[in-house]
Amino acid sequence: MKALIRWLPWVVLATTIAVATAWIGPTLDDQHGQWILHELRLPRALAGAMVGAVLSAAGAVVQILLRNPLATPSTIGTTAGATLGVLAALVLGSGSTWMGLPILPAAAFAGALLVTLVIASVAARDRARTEDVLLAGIALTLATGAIASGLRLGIDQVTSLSALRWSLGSLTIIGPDRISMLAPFVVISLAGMLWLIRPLEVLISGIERARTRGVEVTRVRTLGLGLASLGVAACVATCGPIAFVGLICPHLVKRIVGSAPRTLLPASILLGAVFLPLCDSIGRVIWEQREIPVGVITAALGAPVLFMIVVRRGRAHSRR
Amino acid sequence: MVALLELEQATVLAGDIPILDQLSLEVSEGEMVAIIGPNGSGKSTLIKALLGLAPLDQGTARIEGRPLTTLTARQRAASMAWLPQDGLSAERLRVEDVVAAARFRFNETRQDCLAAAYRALEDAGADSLADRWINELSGGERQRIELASMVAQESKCWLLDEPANHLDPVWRARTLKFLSRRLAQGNTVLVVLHDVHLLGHIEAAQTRVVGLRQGKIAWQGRLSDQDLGKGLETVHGIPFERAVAGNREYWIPGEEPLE
Repeated sequence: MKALIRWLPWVVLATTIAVATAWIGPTLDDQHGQWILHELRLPRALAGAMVGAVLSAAGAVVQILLRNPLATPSTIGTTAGATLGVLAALVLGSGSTWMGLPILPAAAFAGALLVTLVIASVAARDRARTEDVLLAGIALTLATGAIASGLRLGIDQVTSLSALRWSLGSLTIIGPDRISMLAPFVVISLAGMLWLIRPLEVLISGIERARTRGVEVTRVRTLGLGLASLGVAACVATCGPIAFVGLICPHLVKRIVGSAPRTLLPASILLGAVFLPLCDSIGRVIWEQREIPVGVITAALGAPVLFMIVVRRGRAHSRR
Repeated sequence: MVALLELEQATVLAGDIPILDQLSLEVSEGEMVAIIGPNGSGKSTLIKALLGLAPLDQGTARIEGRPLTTLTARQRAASMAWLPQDGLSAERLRVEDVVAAARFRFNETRQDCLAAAYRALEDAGADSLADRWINELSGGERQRIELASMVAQESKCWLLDEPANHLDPVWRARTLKFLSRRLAQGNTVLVVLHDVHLLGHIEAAQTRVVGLRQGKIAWQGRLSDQDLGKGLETVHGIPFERAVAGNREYWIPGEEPLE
């Protein structure tokens, strides 16, 4: 309860900024402009906030669970698995439904979950080291990427173009229907990850330490990775693979408030919810008459951050 | 009486090579046990086997008569607290959060948890560090945080893996003194010491010294035993000489016999 009151002003602030990003871009005065604002930009800002929050939180959680600042859903293969699932669905025909479910998100989730389960099973072995998990993630990302490239040859040119656009990560295809599909996954994933804060507080001091302090590490790790991949899969199915959000946001938060999960996780959620709509708006105005997919913007911002983390880590290690 | 901690015929393998070789050990409540031995003799693995961090390939580990594998992580945490060799995490964390996290096994409000964490910090003489970042602390300060975390966990038995590593002489002595104090307060203490010189800092004469060699107990006896020197020789393979300073006695490796 106290925590809720402490975070409330920040939640209000983040929501306000996220919604306000809808007004960034060419001015919208006339009737037509009002329609664009309400039917296109606001849903986009809203979806951006949800996707950003999930990707950022998932990044923070995966980093703690695998004890590595470079681990994110993108680096352990979750995103790649979801992407493969979606491409497979496109080959089968994107409009189709399966047992009444829209096939795209179902396929994305199946792909993400499959890869994450493989990773989780590597991580669950008693003697698994962090590097093993990351390397397995890289191997799986490469494998699924190769299969996905092959699959693209199997689709006709029109679908292939839209698949390419989708695979860059974009919020343009969002409508209100997509948002109502996305929302339950976002809520379950975020609530679940927040619920894990207590064991995460212990895990941050080390896996073995956490075991000796009473944390059922394997259970927490499996749950955490499952919840993160559930959220990420829903995001990928909605707007394609958007990389680096899970890397940049938690990293910035750590530098400001520290790494303790009880502040890191809520703050990462809020920053992600602001960061992605902002990036989307930048993509809207930076190149006149064109829209740059938000995934391109986050990648352009994220790569330097990744580089910085690696360099700093190298320095920190050599200092010892 | 049932032993607090027990290893029975415990074997831990690394590939085909036994790190612990059918080792049996009992630790009674209120006892202080110092584990010594050369590098690679299985000291850390012995501790990890008791904690359940190194799965046994053969044999049984028990806590108060119950097999370790039947206990939940929380039950284990109530019996044993661990000070590992690897040192505090390099993450940017507040001292109070780190110590509070050691109380995971308790179901309590954040307020109670923090209050207990502060008491533990006070006990370890580190209350002034509560709102510092751990990655900015000195070695001695980090050690106090580690000890405070052990206090905060409120476990019966303390298992420490070379707690004097990387510390200056003053902090080494203080750390071992702190352990003697915990012993007097009713804790059971099992401490791995790399350096036999440190035995001289242990105040409790009743301390049991267990010497490992190639995964087996090569010698054990009391700190006050007359033939401790012979024991050290059995364990390390070279003679040791006794040196007296004030009312303390230290053991110093003697000349290695020429080949």
